[in-house]
Amino acid sequence: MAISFIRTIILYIVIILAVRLMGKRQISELQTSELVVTLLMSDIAAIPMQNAALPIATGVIPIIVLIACEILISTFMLKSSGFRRFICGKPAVLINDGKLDQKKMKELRIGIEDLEEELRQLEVASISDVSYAIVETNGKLSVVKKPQKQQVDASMLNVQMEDSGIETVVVRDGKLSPFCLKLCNLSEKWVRDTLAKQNTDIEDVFIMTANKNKDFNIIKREV
Amino acid sequence: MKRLIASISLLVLAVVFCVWEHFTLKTTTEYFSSEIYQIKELYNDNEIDAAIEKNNYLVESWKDKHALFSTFIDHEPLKEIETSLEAMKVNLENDEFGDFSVELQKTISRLEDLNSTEMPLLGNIL
Repeated sequence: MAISFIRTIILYIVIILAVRLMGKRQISELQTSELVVTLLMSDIAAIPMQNAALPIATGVIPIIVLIACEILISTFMLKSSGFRRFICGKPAVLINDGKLDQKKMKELRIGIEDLEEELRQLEVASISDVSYAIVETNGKLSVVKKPQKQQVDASMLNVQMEDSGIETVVVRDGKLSPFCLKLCNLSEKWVRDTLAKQNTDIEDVFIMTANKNKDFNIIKREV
Repeated sequence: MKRLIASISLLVLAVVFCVWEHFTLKTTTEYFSSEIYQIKELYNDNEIDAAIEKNNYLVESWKDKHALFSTFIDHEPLKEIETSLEAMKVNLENDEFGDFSVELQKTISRLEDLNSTEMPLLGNIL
């Protein structure tokens, strides 16, 4: 049992490192090859975890080879659009200029109920509201609404909006985040002065958010 | 770029490991097979004590190899070879020459099997 315990920890660390090495792409939207690698890695890692008679290398070596192949393939995909099309396919336009492409739907084995379900999840009430609907290479549906159905934004109303930049968590659990401070061009001194004005100790802060305009929000620790 | 270099390095490491594994296994199994044939010859020449000594040496040698090979090969076939070598030793010490011949053949066949199943041949891959 101790062997399984130790192997599980080792393989867990290997998988975490593998996912980190593959990059943020892996964590967000999965392409075909990425989906294959993700599914395979978990299955492969489970084998030496459960069977102590097999060497741990039977899990580690295949995972290493999979990561390397995945990174090499994604690099080639960057360099060659033809290769990318071969691996990932092409996006498919289901609704083109408001017109439903039934032939394409049949090709992709997408029924009208599936399409309506996807549209509802994208907060589109009706097919007639859609100008373009595209099935991306990762299987997700992207929608461009007709102009009269699009949400109004500031530029349409000729309203000038102030750019407050990005709001980040500058203090988390009593600790400063130098990375987030740099992102907002704020200094540690400003954080401490602000907290002092609020009669709050940094150790009592659960979360403090701020943006480049020095708008801040403090949530104190409760427990 | 860093990830690409890291992935190529990992691939190269994996290939180097596999090549090293292949050659280590091949040379070890060939060595043990030849030593076992020598035991057979010693036994045929009626030099039983020499045969026993060589067998004892092989048993101890295999224990070291077992520890190394178990990092990349299934433990079962390694255990079987260890058991066969021990059985050969017991048969020689107890003058069980019939059983000794059978165990000897088994050991040689297991060593050859171990080598052939780990080779990256088309049959093994498929």
